[in-house]
Parts: sequence; C-alpha cells; structure tokens
Amino acid sequence: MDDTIVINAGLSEVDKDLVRYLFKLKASTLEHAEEPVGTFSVARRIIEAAQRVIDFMDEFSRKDSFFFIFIGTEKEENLKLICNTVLEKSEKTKYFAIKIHDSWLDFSVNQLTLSGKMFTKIK
Amino acid sequence: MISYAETMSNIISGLSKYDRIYISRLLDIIEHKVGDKTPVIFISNQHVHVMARLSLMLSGKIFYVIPTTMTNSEIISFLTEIYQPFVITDNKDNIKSNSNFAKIYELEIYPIDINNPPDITIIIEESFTMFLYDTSGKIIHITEDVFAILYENAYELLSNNKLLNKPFLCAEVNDFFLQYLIIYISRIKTTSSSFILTEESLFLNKSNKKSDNTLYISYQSYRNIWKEVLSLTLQNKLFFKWFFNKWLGRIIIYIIIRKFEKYFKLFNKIVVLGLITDPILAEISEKLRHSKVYNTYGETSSLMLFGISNKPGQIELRPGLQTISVSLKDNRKAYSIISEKYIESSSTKISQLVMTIRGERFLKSITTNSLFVVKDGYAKFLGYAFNNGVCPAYIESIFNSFPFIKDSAVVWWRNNYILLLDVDEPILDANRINYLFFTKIMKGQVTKVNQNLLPEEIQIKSFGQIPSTIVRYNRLGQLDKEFLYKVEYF
Repeated sequence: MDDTIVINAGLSEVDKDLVRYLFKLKASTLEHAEEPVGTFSVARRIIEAAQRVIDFMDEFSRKDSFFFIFIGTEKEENLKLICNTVLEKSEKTKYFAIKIHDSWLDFSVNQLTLSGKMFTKIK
Repeated sequence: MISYAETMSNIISGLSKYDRIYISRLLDIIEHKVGDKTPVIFISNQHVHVMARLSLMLSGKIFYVIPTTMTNSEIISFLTEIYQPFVITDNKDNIKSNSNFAKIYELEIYPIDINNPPDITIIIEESFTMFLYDTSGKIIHITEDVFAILYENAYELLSNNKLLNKPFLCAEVNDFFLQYLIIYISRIKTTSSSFILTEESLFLNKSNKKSDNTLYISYQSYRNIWKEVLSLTLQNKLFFKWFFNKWLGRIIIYIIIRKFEKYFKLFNKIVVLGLITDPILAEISEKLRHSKVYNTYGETSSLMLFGISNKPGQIELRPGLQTISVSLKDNRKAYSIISEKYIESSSTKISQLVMTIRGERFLKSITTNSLFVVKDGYAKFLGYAFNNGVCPAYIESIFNSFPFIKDSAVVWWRNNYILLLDVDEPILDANRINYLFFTKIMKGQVTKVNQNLLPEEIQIKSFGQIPSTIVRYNRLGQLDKEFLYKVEYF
C-alpha cells in the first residue's frame, strides 16, 4: 500500500522526534541514491520540511490538539476509527490530519471533526 | 599448517570423475575465451556455480562473484566498476540488462562420456583473488591463504561434530559456498542422491519419521519457516485472541513450537548457517524435542565459518580464533584495531568481538557490528552496535514474534529509543485488524516491555510504522537495519 500511515495521537517531544527521524530517513535514502545528481539539495529541503511540520505542531500543541500524520492519502474510514480512539474527548480538543505530500517537500493540514470528517483546510 | 596447494589437491581428489572432467573443460574455456578480461561469475545453478568458481581459483585468476539474488540495477552498478568484465553465466536471460557494460558468455557444456574419459591433468596455480559482495553490497576479497585456512577450519569443525554423515542443504550456494563444497564432497563419499532442499520442499515433506540426517539451513530460511508457522497458526481468530493473554498465550506458543518442529522431524541435527540473532527463536531452538540445533558463526557471504556452537544464539570461542573484547563505553571506535590483547573493562561486560585469523604470511581480521557478552567459553549475542548506542536484540525479537510484523528495529535517536515497525499489511487486512486495534496492541506491548523488561533509563518512548516510501531492504530481502541505525542527528 502506498498510503502508509504514521499515527501520532497526542504530542510529546519524542513524537516530534519520530517525525524528524522519518524525514531524516527519507532524506538519507536520497543521499544514498544511485544517481546523486541534485539529491543533496533535495535531501536538505526534506529535512527543512520536517522542521516546518514540527513548528506547525508546536504552534498548535498549546491549544489541546491531536495530530494524525499521513504519508500519501488520507482515508475517511481510518480517520473515523482514529478519532474514536481518542479518549480525551472534549469540545475544546482539536483534531488535525497532517498529510505529507508524496515528494516529502511539503504538507497540508485539515482540521477534523470528532466523527473523523474533514472540517476545514488549515494549510 | 596445511598449504593452499594441498587443500586444493584434497578438494579435487574428493570430487567425482565427472566433476573433474567438467572442471578441465571449464579451464579450457577460461584459457581460450577470457583472455585479459576480468571474469565475473553470475550462475544460479548450484553445481555449475561451484565448478566455475573452483575452475577460476585453479586458473589463478582475479575474479568476481555476483550473487544471483542481486537486483538488475545493482548488477549494472557493480559491473561498471569492474575493468573489462567478462560475465560467465548459465542463462543469458538472468542478466536482463544489455551487454553494453560487459561481454556476456553463456556456458554450454557438452555431454560427458563417463565410460570413455579423456586424460585430464589439472594444474593448480599458486594464487587467486576472489571478490565477493556481502548482503549490504560491500566488496570483500579472498585470497588463497585465507581460503585454505577457512576450508580446513570449517571441515574440521563439521567433521568433529559428526555433522557430515547424511547432510542436506537448504541455502543459496552464492552465500554459503564453503559449506556447500564441504557437504558436496562428503556427500559424494556416502551417496550421490540429491541433497539440495528448498523451503517449499520442507513444507511439503513434513514427516513423522525420525531419521539420522543433518540439515544445513540458512538463518534466513530457518527464520522464514518460524514466521510462516507463526502466521499460519495465528490466522485462527480464537488463537489470535488468546495469543495476547498472559496464560493462554503460553499454550499457544507451545502449540506453535510443536508445529515448528514438525518441519524438521526428518533431521536429528540442524545446522543453522549464520548466528541465530533472534533471542526468542534461539530459545525455541533449544527446546526442540527431536532435533539438536547448532549454529555457525561467520560472515557467511565471504566464505567464513569460524565456529560452530551447540548453543543457539551463542558462539563457542575456540583456541586459535583470537578474540578481542573492547568496551564500547571506553572507546567506541576501538573495535577496528587489530590487537592480540584481551581487554575487558571493569565497568561493563558489553563487548564487541573482532575475529582474527592468522596465517604464516598474513593476518586477517573480521570486524562486526554485533555485540556479545563473553562467559564460560561462549559469547552470547546481545544486539547491534550503532553510532549512538546499543540496540538490545531481545526487544526487537518480542515485536518480531507478532505475525503481522515483518521486522522491527529499535533505534537510538536523541537519547531515546524509538521502535520502528515494518508491518505486513496484507496480514493485517486478512485478519481484519484495523489501525485502531493495531495501535492498541502495540501500545499495550510497548508498555508491557517498558514495565517488565527494561530498566528506567532504557525505555521505548515512541513507536511508528516505517513508511513504505522509506523502507530499504538488503539483497536477501531483509530490512536494512544498518541503514536505520546509521541515521544521524540533524
């Protein structure tokens, strides 16, 4: 399946570390690629993208939020399941689906409702 | 010490008349076709592969052995680094790439009339150089002295343990050439019937008959069978549910072990080629009722076979095999130093082994990233060393026991352990395990492992699935863990 999903419910330093680690892995695969033309700069941009994801999560983490990180496409049924697993349900809690684009150079964010439906596009 | 020429004479005299004629024909081809080009072997047929490799050794050439399990792009990249490659293959279609990079020669051996054999004299040249590729694609070179010592050492080890009576092999000759050669020659002396088995044939030939055979099996195949039995059993929904229960789980494991040993009932001795690095599988191997499990230690793809141990997951330390033990804490890079001294730090027993073989004219050391604890003449495998810390193998082993996890790696990242999982998604889908259930199981297991097995300073802080867009496998189809471990800070 192309749409591999990494789930991070709740935010902690290590979860951010995991995101950094995965981006670094992706960048490393490019650094080790057979045709190294231009991959160094792409690898650096991938690492920068990780920092932007972290910054985004940092900004919202103070506001009682949950983040779900998707690589590839989000699936509505999975979103529903994930939202059901969140225990601390309150009206104040916000849920976000972060979708990492296939290139790993950028990401988009959607806010979710408790039922797992896409609510608003943040980024 | 036995010389290279004596070793080769013994090997040649141990071969059948048919094989000797075959070799003399190959030598003829090498002499007339190869010229000043660099011979490269790319042969999938086990027997032809061995004969071609022996012939090139005898001819005194510098040659390369490219494993047939390599991908097409890997082959091309390796061929471009070789000076005027002359690829000898048993099937041109195997090399799918165009012959722009190399001259490709397909072997055609005409039938041999065994009743009317020609006079053959095989001359052994004094030296050869053989280049091999290990699982991660790193190049290793073997010369005549190293080959002679390793061959004699391996032969002695296998004969002393009486493991050559009725041997069967389930392994790729590309990676286990030395073992193949020894078993092949001993096989000629006893009987000439087929002795190559595949994983599939082991599945088909489950038998209740007890027999006095020895099975040589690669660690990868042995582990595959274990994973297969595990997932087949746990496809039963009730068993799957009980597997996670503290008490019923033990019964399920017992059932799985009994199913596992059924595959090996034909063999009363199993020699696993390669160290059993999965501690749970090592423990299970000790519990098999009908078979005694041995394991070998050595860089198998580079012909090494340093030791054979009757304790799965452990290496028996032998005199003559020099072992240097250095503390990782004191000096992380010390393992690359060749030394005769045995150093053990008082603060820690965690050690890294360097194996050194010493000939009359050379000294060769094999460094390894594996960590061991040395005790009572045995070295027990602990895990892999990587730049930032030590990865305890038993933790990975627990997660690898899940049928829906292909492999896992505990990585050291910013002073924390992070568990990375390579998930077998078709199995998750077949059992209708959704992400909700999956994360629940994993969270529960991580908590359990943290509470019961790990000290406070070593706790798994987070876990995640390795995205398929990142995951890398080596040429044996295993997760490239060294790559995962090597990722550094940014």
